[in-house]
Amino acid sequence: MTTEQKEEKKEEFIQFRYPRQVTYHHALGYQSKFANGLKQGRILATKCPVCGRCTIPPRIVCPFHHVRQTEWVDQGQRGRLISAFKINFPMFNSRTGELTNWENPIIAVELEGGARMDGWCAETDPEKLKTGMLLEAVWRPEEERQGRADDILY
Amino acid sequence: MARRVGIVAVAQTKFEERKSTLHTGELMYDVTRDVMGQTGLEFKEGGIDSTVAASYDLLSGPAGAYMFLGYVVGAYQREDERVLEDGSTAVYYGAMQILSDHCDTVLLVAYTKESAVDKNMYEWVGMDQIYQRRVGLDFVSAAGLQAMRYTTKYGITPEQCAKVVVKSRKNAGNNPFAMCCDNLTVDDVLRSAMLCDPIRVQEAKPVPVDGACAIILASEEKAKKITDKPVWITGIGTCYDHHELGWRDLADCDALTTAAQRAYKMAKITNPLKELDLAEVSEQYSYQELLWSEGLGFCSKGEGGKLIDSGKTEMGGELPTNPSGGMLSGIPVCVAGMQRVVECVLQLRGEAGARQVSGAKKAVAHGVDGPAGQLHCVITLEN
Amino acid sequence: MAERIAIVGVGQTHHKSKRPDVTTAELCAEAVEDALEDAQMTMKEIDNIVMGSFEVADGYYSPDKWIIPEIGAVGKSGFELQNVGTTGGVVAAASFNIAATGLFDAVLCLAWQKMDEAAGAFGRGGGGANEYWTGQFPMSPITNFARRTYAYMDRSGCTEEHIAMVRVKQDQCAMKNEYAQLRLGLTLEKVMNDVLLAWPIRRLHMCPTTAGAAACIVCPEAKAKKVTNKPVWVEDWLTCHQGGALTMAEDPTSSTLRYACDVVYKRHGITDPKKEIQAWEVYEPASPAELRWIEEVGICEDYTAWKLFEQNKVGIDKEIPFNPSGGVTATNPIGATPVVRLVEAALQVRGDAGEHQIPGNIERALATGYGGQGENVIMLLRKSL
Repeated sequence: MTTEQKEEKKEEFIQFRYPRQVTYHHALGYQSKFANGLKQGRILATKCPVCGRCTIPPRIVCPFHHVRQTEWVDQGQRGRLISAFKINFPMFNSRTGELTNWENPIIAVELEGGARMDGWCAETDPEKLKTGMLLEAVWRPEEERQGRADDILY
Repeated sequence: MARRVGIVAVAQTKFEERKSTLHTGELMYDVTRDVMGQTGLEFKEGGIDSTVAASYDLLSGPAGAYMFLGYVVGAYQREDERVLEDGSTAVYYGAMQILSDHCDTVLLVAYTKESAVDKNMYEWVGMDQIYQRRVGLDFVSAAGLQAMRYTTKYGITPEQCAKVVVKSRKNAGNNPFAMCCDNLTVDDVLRSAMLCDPIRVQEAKPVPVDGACAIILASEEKAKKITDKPVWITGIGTCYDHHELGWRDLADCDALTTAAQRAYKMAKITNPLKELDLAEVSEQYSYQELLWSEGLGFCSKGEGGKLIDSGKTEMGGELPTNPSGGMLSGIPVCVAGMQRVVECVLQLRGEAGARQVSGAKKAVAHGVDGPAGQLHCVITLEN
Repeated sequence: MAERIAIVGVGQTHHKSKRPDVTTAELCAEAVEDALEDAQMTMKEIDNIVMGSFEVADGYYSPDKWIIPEIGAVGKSGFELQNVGTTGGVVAAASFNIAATGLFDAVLCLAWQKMDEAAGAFGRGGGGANEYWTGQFPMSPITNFARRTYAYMDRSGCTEEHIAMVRVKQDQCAMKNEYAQLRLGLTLEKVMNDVLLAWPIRRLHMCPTTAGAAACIVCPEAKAKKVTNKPVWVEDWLTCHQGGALTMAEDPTSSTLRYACDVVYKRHGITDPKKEIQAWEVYEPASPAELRWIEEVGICEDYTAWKLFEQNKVGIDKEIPFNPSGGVTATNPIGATPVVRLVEAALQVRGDAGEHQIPGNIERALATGYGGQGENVIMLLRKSL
């Protein structure tokens, strides 16, 4: 995370900069199974034993029943489009650490297993996207996968 | 206090240097489920009314870290608030929610993974951005300045400070949740490298430490129904001190004295040394146990060194201080204040095992936040 | 026994996009002094302070520590809270809880946001995120509302023109509010032709970044009656969060506002909110959100609010006085915004809102705070006990 202040010297008002970089070490813990699943080309989700709802990202407990979710279900490779949006301005890219323009729309997909997830869409023209369209996951080559969201290219 | 607030369940994780196989949410889950299991309360009508958490986003990384973990502590469609201070303040606020009649039961959770980021980095950001940060002051150097001033003004010796560490580590040997329970001697402590003059490495709290703890508070009527061993919160007080280190005499902790007086007044305690059976204070550095003891009224100003020499704060003494081993044995920041309350509760319920202070009836727990003890929170309890 | 509590003084800064002339502490001091003056009280009489801001967006860690001395609060009790978007709401709720215990005479509720001091207003993770998953997508409130609005338009028949009508109404209200930041004199054409951020959200639809602060003073009954002859009673409040239960992908319409309102209305026997509540300051981070919130607070049937705008029924002196201050689309100092809503609602109840005062007797007002993926804090104010 970096923080910067603009460097300006006005007549009265002085501002100065504090750029700093902070490295975070996060333990994925239970989510490791999900990340490893992505590396293998599988989309896994946790399932609630009470309501049967599958959630991505995986949750420790079902938010509605507060029951520990220990069952993991493979969600398949296909799903239906729920919604899509395309961003027309540069946004932070967590892989490169810079602002980038995003050509591919971000979509919400409901997978075969019932879980909904975010992803990118190959079709760059949002006008052509319709709710309910059938989509299939296209993965990065296995050696490039890191257990990240963009292991599914689109 | 007109309406009493009872503590009906407590839980804590074992404190470890790095819990790298566990996600932060799993830490929260473990302690939450523990206290819920003890009381049979669930997240629904008639169960837990609200949650008050204590944590820092900057420690966890993303901007809304707690927001995305709230579901673990039952935040879905319910009252859920997060105090951006040490865990003792969450206890303070949770008690307020019950005293205001707004809630009947409150779940309190404090969690921290110090292994996620460099503590000094974010504590540096905790100093005001115009004057103190530019000088490179962070909480460690602030503590160093305070230690230097305090020991110089009142003639506290390095041996007296070192005795605090020896006592803490020895006490930790009786505590299965503690991280460090090595048998240090005064010499061991004084031979360790200098961290920030006059504080030596062995006189500072171990870093990093990961862990979490949870408490369930309930109104008097409900507490009596849930458990036959409720522990009552009899007094609470907080107080802010100056931020700029030069604006106060660092050798004194007036904010703590005021906070303690606020709590003692509610609890009708006039002689803490005699009336209390144990104390759990938040001491990140050895000198702090001595200084906080003065603020809490265990001895007069400047007599902290004499207090530890007298043996009154040892196990078996008149007022055992930190029978759990305290922060010096390894407790993460933010969790510390709430965990002190957890320890007091275990003591007052007679469930403290090998570290039990026999016949404990009244205790005081203390939490602190900010550089050189800027915000103090004092909570008195009795069974 | 709990005390009945009232707001005896309110204050806010004149909100601007940047305030290079003040430090964060000075910004807070402006709001605090404004509130103290409004209540005709001094800092000495305040004995507890609850404060908060979305400190990560400003690049701070525990800012309360260095703000406290600047507002003259050394030696007082208090603490800081944060909950991203609903920060101001939980700060207000905390001040209500503390005042209602009766242990303190006067509680100061303070919230602020500077925003011009940090780049990338949301640090890492686009508006709050699970540090592993959601942070990898370029998501932010803009995209959250793109999803919400898409879902709303799909189900309701609302068009882009209706959303523009909402924005124009908000601006008309803001033009009458000297404290609001954006007072632009908008027309439908200007809004509909504005830069597209993420369809259907245009730049003008979204709230701005604002440097601002707001404060209010809450007292238990006895003290409140001594301090002022126009106390605004806090009838009830409810924090109703979501805690990351569902992401926007999983439920694009997720919101706890309806649930929260139902709980509070039931507690107070409110069955016809449109009649029984006369002023609304409901946190809408984007123009289209206002449509859904009008429905969720119970003013009209689901997916019909856009028709109210078509029929020109929403405005300061119209049938539905929703967000007479111009709302969040005109002013959004993130951490402070729910308190700004509270301040505006209190001014309405007192009849002190100047040019944007809703005509008639305001017996009840509802103020809300919003955050995250549909979390809410609602506060119900009352004129008479």
